[in-house]
Amino acid sequence: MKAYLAVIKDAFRAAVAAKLLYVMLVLITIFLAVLVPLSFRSIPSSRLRQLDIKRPFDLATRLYEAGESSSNGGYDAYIWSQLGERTQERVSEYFKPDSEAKPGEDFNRINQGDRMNFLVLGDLRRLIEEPSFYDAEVFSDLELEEEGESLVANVKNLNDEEAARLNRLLLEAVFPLELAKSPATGVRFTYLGMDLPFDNLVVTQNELRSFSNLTIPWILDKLVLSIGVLVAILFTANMVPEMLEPGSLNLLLSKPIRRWGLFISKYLGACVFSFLNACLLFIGIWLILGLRLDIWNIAFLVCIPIYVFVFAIYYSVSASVGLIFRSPILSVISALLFWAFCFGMGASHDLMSSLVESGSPEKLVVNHGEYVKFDGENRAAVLDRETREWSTAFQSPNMDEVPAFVRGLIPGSSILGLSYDSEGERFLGAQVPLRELGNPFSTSRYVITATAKNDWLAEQKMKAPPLTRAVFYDEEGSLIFVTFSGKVYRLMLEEIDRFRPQTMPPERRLGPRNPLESPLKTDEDPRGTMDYYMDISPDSSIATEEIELIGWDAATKRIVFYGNGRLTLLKWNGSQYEWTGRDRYGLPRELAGRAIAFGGDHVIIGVDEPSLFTVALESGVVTELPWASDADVVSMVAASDGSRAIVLDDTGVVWQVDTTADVVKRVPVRSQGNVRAISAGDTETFWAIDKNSLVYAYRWSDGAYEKSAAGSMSLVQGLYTYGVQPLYWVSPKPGEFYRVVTHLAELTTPRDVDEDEPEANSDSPRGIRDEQDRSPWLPVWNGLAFILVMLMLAVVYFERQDF
Amino acid sequence: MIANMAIQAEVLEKTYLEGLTRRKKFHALRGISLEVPEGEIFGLLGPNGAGKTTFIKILLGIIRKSGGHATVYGHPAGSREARSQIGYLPEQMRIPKHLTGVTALEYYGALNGLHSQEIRERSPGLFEMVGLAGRERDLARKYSKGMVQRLGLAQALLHRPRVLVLDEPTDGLDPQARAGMRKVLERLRDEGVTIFLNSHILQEVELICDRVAILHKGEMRYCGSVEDIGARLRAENGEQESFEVELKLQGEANHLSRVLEGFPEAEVVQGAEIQVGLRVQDQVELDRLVDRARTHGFSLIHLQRNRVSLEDAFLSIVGGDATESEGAKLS
Repeated sequence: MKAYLAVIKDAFRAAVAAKLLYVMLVLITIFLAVLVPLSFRSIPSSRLRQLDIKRPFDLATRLYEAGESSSNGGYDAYIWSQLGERTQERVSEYFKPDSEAKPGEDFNRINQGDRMNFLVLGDLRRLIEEPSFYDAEVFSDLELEEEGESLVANVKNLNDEEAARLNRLLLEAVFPLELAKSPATGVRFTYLGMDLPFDNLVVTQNELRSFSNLTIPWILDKLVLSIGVLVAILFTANMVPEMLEPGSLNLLLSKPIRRWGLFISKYLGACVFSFLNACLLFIGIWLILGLRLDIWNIAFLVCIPIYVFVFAIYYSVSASVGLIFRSPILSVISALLFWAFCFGMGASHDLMSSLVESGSPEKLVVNHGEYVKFDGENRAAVLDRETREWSTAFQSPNMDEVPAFVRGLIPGSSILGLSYDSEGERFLGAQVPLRELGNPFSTSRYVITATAKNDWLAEQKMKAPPLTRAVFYDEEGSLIFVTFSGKVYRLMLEEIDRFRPQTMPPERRLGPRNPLESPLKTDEDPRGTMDYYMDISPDSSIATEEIELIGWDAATKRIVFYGNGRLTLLKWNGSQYEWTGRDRYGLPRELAGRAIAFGGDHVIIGVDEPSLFTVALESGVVTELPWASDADVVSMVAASDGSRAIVLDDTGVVWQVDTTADVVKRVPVRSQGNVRAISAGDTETFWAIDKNSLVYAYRWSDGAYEKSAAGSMSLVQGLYTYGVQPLYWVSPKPGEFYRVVTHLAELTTPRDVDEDEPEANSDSPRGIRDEQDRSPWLPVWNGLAFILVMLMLAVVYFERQDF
Repeated sequence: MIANMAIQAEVLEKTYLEGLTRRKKFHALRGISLEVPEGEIFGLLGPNGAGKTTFIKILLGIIRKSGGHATVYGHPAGSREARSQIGYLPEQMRIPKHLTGVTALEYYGALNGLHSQEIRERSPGLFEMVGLAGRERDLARKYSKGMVQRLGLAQALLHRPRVLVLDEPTDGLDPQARAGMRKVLERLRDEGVTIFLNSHILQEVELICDRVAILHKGEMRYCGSVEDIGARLRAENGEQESFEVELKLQGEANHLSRVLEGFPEAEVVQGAEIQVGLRVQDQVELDRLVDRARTHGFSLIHLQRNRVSLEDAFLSIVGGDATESEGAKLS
């Protein structure tokens, strides 16, 4: 052991003698010296973020009502009076009773609302900054908490920041439900004792934590770690080749030590060198961030072993090449090539996985033996049952003039209620027109039909009712449209056949047609949009927030709405929908909905937290199902009799719900973990499509495999699945260690969640999660395996070689 | 007795496979057998490519043998036990640039398993012995070639090995240092250390070695004492045991032709003394020659019997091949 320790010590001594350590020390010290002046100071928190307005419309309503009321008293009226004229106008305009409101104007209303809320936010921010906002007379009766009281008591001596804090507290007290409570203090960054002149850098403690957990590890990984490792590799590249010079190597090999021990000790010596550098660098950063910014995040110290580990990965290549070719230049070049390989591997994996992900199915519709899949970009494809190949579907008829490779890149538009009309041998649905895709506020849709004869191109028919949220196919020969506001309309299929569009005269065309342009001049439709539809809405309206999820039972034409923890059942009475107080069911908690399935007597609801509930409509019994998973529900389908439902979670795993026994269990479907979408089949089977677009049917009763509708992988999918992905999985990922640091930072940082403070970026994705997100330790295992393999190869060579 | 044998080699072979397909064979050693008893200074001679370095590298485990058997104090050559018995000075000793004399001994001593304390205790004596005292704290990169060689000898002796393997130990040393090195080696032999050396400088080997082996093209051509090498050569060539003598006489030069009757090849140099060089068949003939000189009034001032030099033997054994390849070094 002594001998090997001597080799390690010698390697380190060589680094010191070559002044490497000093160079590294100087570089690190300069870096730390730049960081040292960065600090922060606590300031009374007053910044109003958009997130802080929890209920913007309620807030605007209160202000509007105060403005409209004749009495001049009250806090609301005072605040109304302080708003700018333009804001007041906008608010009044928005809430003005409009007797002529038409369904088609809903879209404008949403736009108006957004603009109004933006103006209100701007005005409230201005009021907070105004020291004169506090009026002792107006706010004399307002109940403030201790902090507010003490500020009021000292109101004449407040500085600007304290005055702003008081104003913020006043607003919070006036609008306790509408505004979020702010933490007492915020953080403002300073450099050399001076405030950094960026208002965005005034952050809350939570944002600071998020910065320290996410941003700093990323910076450390990408900047400090990459540069540091590169420098260390350059400095240590000569160690092994130098050992192999004839006069030196023969002497070493004549000593009573093992060859593999000699090589490994040299290797470890270089790692010790990088370890000392890393200690200095990261302990320095940790102390500076701790002492100056009060971010005492132990995860930064984890950067030390990670830095050494990343160095060890690169150096295993450099040292092995140095051993075989005995050239320091080749050592460095090999490390650089290896870096390029890892970078290229990661980049090509990311590129191809995004291509595959965008092409991998997110929705499956199986209807009367026809299979349709939609990818992440809403591109649809129909399965040709003879060739078992997917062919593009529901594109604009103009697309036939566009080259195929370009066509594949153009995103599709989502289709609601896609269903197959077996009598008319066509698909029906409501599609967003392509020219509206760029407009985030657009809710306009058109009814489309597509037939095999016409290569499944989407023939655009009449406009769908404004704000259509869901469309269902009624076997009796109609489409049922449900809007965001809970309105229900019916469109008889013969109306679709009667629709005669007016197309643009061909002589007006100049050159190739824009594929995004509609061939129809729908404005020239001789009939008004709503003339095609029958209003079959229930008499009593339902609040919009209670229509988060919409379920449909085809057999009985019943509809369910879920939202705000309440389920509402709409029954079909033969001419319109209706509901009574008996048709309302309450879940034990107000949880945001994820997915809903409706069949027979049962409604199954997947909600946040995550949990699953079943509602037995007849008895009114609501049951929380025992679901042993922390994955979110992505979609659900129910058997037509309601006895079973299938749940797909965001890890691609399929579960079966037995509503008769209130049991949830995993089912043995193929590609379990890689399933991307599910669809209800007939009474016996349900369908699942995996990420490679292969479709299989399984039995409702036990999830056993029943049959295959196949489908095939695209070339890109095949290349990715059998080439790039396996290679990426086994190849080391030295550039991804920030995942480990971030993961550890999140584990080690205590989360004193302040419920009143909205979380930044709390939106979680609703689709299937990326696989990498599931394994933050993957870079560690990969790296370890890679180092072992490289060292083993090098050692075998060294042991067998005659020198 | 095996116990007294420091080095034993039996039919040792080494074959290198060369070329891209590794089908071409090069026989570096062809069945070498030799024994080196404890406490002997043994020299290994041979022209370039004879297999000397290959033999040493097999002893040290730097390369693997292809056949046969070799041991160091009974341990298989190349094993860690065998290596721990050996102190080795390589031909072109290189000390890493960052080491000083002291740290080099610390490093190499630790590689031999010595404790730092032992290294610290032994180092001053060794620096003194190899003549580096006072320069031991200098960086090795500032040392001359000879100093590096002497530091190499110090590191080879640090762990007190029973066998010292020296590859060209006096290469690059000045005459004074060579003499010093010879003394060190003789002292070590007296202490019972076996010395196995490989040198091109044949006079050096002749002066110091008890026995030598001469390798040529991987084969051993001679193994025995330096004194016996002439007789062995004559025996091998079927020659009688004649020898050269050198005489210095004082007397009447006119009578010299009578004295040298029967020695037509005698070389005579006349001066204050008369120097005569000639070859006699045996001691009896020499005695007769001396008697005849006295009878004719000559006084015998000096008589020297010349034996066959190692260089002559070496050239005779390796023939023209060596003269071509080694000519520069032997001259």
